[in-house]
This record gives sequence, C-alpha cells and structure tokens, in this order.
Amino acid sequence: MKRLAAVWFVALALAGVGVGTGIAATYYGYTAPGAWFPAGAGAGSAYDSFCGPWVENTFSKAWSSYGLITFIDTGGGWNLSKQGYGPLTRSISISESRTWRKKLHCKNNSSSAYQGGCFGIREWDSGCA
Amino acid sequence: MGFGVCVMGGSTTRLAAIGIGLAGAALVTALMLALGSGADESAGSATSSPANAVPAAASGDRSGSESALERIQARIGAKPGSMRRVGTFGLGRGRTLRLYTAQAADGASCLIDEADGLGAGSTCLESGLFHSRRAAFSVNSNGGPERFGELQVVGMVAPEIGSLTVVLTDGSVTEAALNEHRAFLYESTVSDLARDALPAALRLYGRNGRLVETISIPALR
Repeated sequence: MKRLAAVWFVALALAGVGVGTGIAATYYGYTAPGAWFPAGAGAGSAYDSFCGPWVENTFSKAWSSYGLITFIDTGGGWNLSKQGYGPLTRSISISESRTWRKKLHCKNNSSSAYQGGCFGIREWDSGCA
Repeated sequence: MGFGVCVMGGSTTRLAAIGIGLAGAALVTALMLALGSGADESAGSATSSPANAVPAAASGDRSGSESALERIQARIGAKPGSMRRVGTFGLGRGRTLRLYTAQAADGASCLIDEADGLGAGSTCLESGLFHSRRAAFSVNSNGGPERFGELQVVGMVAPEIGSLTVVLTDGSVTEAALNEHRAFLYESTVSDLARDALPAALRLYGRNGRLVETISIPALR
C-alpha cells in the first residue's frame, strides 16, 4: 500500500512539474520589417522564460549591409553572437536555451545606415509548469 | 503557484494527502496554461508583443527535438541535397566547428556553421557567395561587448584566391590556412582578446601571390 502510494505520488509530482506534451514555435518580430537602422543603432526583444525560451535570432538585411545578432543575458553580456553581411541567423537548442535567461538583440555596427528587420523564435512547451 | 498540502497523520494517509495536493497543483497549472497567453516580460527596450507574434509557419506541435542545425536548414529553406560540408575545424576547449554551404529556396547561397555547444548559424548572399566579395564569412563570438571571451572568423574564399591573411586592429597580420574546399577559420588568441586586438580586415591573395582584394571588417561592437 505504501509502495503504491509512493508510485502515485511520484507520478503526480511529475505531472505537476510538467513533462512536455507539445512544443509550439512562435515567431516574434522585435522590429518592424524594413525598419531603418542608422549607423550604430540596435533593437532588442523581451527576456524569455523557461517555458518559452528564445531559440533563434534573425536579422534580415541586404547582402551589402553589415550587422550583428546576439543573445543578451541578464548581466548584459553578449552570447552566441554572429555578424556579417546579408541575412544572419543564430539558432540554439531548446535544452541549451532553457539553462539561462536571455533576450535577443540586433545591431547595425557598420558606419552606413540601412533597412532591415529582426525577429526571433520562442519554443512554447504546453506541458511546462 | 503554491502546493496544497494537508498532513492528517499516519504515513500512508500523509502520502495520499500530499499526492492529492500535487494533483490539484497539476490541475491548476493545466488550467493556467490553457487560459494564459504566455505573455512576455518586458525589460529595457523590449518591443516584442503578442500583437506581432505568429505561429511558426511549418512547425505546429513538435517534440522539441529539432536540432539547431535542422532549424537553420528549415529557416533558409535549404534545397534537398544542396548542403555540403566544406570544413571541420578545431576550436578552443576541444570543441569542433563544422562549416557547410547550401542553396536556399530563394536562390541565395548560404554558409552555415555549427559548433559544439554554440548552436548553428547562417549567412546567405544573393547571386552566389562570391558575387560581391571574393570571400564570404561571418564573425562568431562570445562575451562582450566590452571584452570578447572568444572570437572566430569563419568562411570561404573564391576559387581564384590562393591565400588569406587576417589583419588585426593593432596592425599585426596572421595567415589563415585554406583547406581543400577553400574554407578557413581564424580564431583569436587569448592574448589578442585580452589586448583587444581584433580582426579588422581580410587580405586576399591570388595564386600568384598578388594582393587582389582587402575586405574591411566593420567595428565588432
């Protein structure tokens, strides 16, 4: 009887904590498409959460435009940054992303202004508590 | 959210009571998730909002086991069979970076890199990797913006290029070896990062040793 109760307890605890039953990806644009980026200008998203971590950051821009994308942690540090010409994307796994809290950032770190758009993907776990 | 725990005495009864409490918590959690919108928390210059959130086009519910590389391939719409590995490079701390080329659905040519614990990334160029410059590259880094903890320049050069050097902000020059696919990786040393001596330009030399192009790397911050 005690053993049965203990098994039931563990099962309910797992259900309560949340074993993922479904993952849904959602795009968020954190700038308007075709936004104007003066030299040195950047934009940022909101911070993510354990149940909805950021897993991708994209800076859509022309092949002649140089810029960067990064994931900013709660200490303001840059992580997993990528920079170059043309559209840039950095993608990380859900398991990696859940280990730390972050927000997305894109920046025109060149000396010329240009247009572009920044967006990211969050993976929402419907079974997450 | 809290747990409801009612301890009534007797070990079996106590366990059952805790189980009931957790079951209640699980039910409340399920209801909250069903009713809630997963609202973002705002911080600083946050601009994302539910108003501009859309479900990812071709995902739906998944197990979440898609790798970063698979997601990149889906992002660029890589044409089946177009992905080709062009380099495998060792990074500091025993990690490996793999470099690929791929053709995107919109006709762009893409460089894709994937490294242990660093996810995957891509940069895509219209009209071919070397249409505008004789080298296609990206700069990957960790740390900063004040001080980078690691930094790599990774890419490929055009067929007519025989060698490549990296010019740092302190004026020093280092050659970056090209592999059989004309791919390269330059990794900043610890001392260079400590001195903030960072890549500022790539110099490309023809097979006859003559300088054919200098590509400036804009400020890295």
